[in-house]
Amino acid sequence: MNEGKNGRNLDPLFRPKSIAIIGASETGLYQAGILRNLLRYGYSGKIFPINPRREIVQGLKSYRKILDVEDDVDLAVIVIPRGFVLDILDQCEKKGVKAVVIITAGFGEADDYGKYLQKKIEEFAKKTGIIICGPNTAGFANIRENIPVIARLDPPPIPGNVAFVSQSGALMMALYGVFADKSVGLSFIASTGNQADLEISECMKYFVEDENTKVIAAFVEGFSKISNFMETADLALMKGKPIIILKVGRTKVGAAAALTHTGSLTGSDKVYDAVFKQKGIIRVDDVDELVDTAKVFSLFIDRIPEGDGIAVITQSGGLGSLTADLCGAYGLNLPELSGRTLERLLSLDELLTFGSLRNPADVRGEGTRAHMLPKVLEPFIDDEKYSYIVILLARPAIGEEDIETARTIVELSKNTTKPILVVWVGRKMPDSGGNLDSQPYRILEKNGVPVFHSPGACLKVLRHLISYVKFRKKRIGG
Amino acid sequence: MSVSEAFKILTYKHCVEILARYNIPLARGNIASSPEEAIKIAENIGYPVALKVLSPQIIHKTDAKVLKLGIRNESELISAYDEIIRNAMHYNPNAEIQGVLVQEMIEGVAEVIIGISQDIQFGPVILFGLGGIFVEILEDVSLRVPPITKYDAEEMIQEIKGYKLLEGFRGKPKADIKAIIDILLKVSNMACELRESILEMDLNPIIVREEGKGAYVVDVRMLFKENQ
Repeated sequence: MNEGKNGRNLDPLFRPKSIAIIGASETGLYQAGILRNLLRYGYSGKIFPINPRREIVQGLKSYRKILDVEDDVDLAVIVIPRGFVLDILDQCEKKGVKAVVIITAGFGEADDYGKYLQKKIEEFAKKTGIIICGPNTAGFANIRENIPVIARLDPPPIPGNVAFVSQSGALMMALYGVFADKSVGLSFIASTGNQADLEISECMKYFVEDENTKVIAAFVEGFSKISNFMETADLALMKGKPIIILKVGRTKVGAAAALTHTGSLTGSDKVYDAVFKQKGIIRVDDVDELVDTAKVFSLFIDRIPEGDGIAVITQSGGLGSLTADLCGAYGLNLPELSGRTLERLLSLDELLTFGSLRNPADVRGEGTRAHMLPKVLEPFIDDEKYSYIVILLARPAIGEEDIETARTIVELSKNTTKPILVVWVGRKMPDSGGNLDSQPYRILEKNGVPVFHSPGACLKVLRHLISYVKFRKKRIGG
Repeated sequence: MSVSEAFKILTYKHCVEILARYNIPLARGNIASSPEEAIKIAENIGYPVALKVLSPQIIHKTDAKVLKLGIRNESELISAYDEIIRNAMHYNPNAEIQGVLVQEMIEGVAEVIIGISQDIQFGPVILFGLGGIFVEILEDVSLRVPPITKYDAEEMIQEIKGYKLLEGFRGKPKADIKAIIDILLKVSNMACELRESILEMDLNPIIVREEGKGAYVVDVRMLFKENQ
């Protein structure tokens, strides 16, 4: 292992050809769940359950110890109590295992004994060069290649281009569900837990280098390998793969008496903020914003517009005004209607524009109905001034008529390179029963049209896209 | 960031040497150890001048009243010299007085601060802000981790809320923003080269003149690691 830590290859962890699960069983969240998922999702490599008390686990031959396995083992997953972990690691080394996931908790985050054990694990990783993920991790899933080293993966994943990595295992699992609900396609999810060895920025770098991953989302408490993080950020910017980070720890830590102004004005989170700005990292403030931003980047990554003009088409004047206010606050550009675009729109008698229309364009209920939407949107789609189209709807997202509205928007979206986004304010749940997926809201969501509950949520995401493109253009030159 | 390790405050003379090494423009001046010397220096650079007592024990010169601005002639200089030395002794009887700085008065359109501090994780950090209350009360500053590019420097300046004041506010001439960028890039270079030794630095204030006329450091403070 001569390679520096910044450059090591994580394939044995994320693309193992064989996996041993130490402590695999018929019950228990991790003991049973990981093996069950590997089987359920059709992992193509070899699986070796290790459990001295059983001959067979979930239909597979079980081994007493990892050293009894005849074949090579790339990855060992440890789900046994902490007291046995060091001994198992020694066996893994003898066996020639290349990567280990330690699911077991009770280490650095726990008591003195746990801290002692974690220290030993750190030393072991340094000494042997074996990649160690965890301890206290919820594992990972390589979604496109059916390698779910994870206890729960419901609903079944949608393979896609977003990689999500989190230090917190619980949050990785929870956000997996949010990504799934919003129909975001994923390439990887991973949690690094206590980071005795493998650090979150190493995962980010691996994902930046992965050809199927186009967008990286991360929940971060802090980076320990700063130089690796900086390198990763540069690489990502070069490759045009946005990194979106939700970082905790914004609260200012009381600084002791500093002797210069500069000293008292540079808290660590402020420095993170500065570094993110400097490196083109997209910083978000909350989980919804993280998922929404990742989703929109993911959908339009190959055709993010260079321009920043936004056309807003609204059913409601009030919602339009709110959106205009927020655009002002966020510094977003709403170019006024003019020329041919204006003429074409004013010629639509159904809109009752009485000779004037602005941006946001208030086209009333009539202008946002399914049969009118193509006529209303096409002038904007054809106008180079507008790079993004936002449709504001203010009515219940329920019922046959709006199923048609949603389908029309999906069709329009498929036939243009310009991103079309929908803000739908109003009821979204049907009265009772019924298939949720047949509802207008879900039709949009599942067919590549991002849909938001409020204008603010939508505009925040647009702001991220626009500033990312500008930043990258300035640095890389488009 | 607080200074947790053993440090030393560099003398003004030492600071000036370091700034000169990085070609960072400084207001003209020299250190006098007597009123007679001060007069010679003042005649050399031309009135009006500023007088400042240099002492490692006196950090806030205004609070200690050891700073006199806009001295127009020899007699004003003699009485000012006497006054600020007395004020220094009064402020801290044990203060070691390293001399009195006689400095040219620079008229500008804005005062800015540029600094360096050390972050536990990222190492040196560069700070930019407008001088006075903007930094002290409003904390209207921007930060970057060196090395920075020209774009980073531009964005640092544009990022602060007080940027409008530099762009020429209410008929004031536009400040020499290029000169600020130039100093930021030099400070970045300095922070990278001195990353192992420098703990903190304030260039405060830097007087920025109108477009094309430059920006000049008027006061400087540097903290280095003790063993450097």
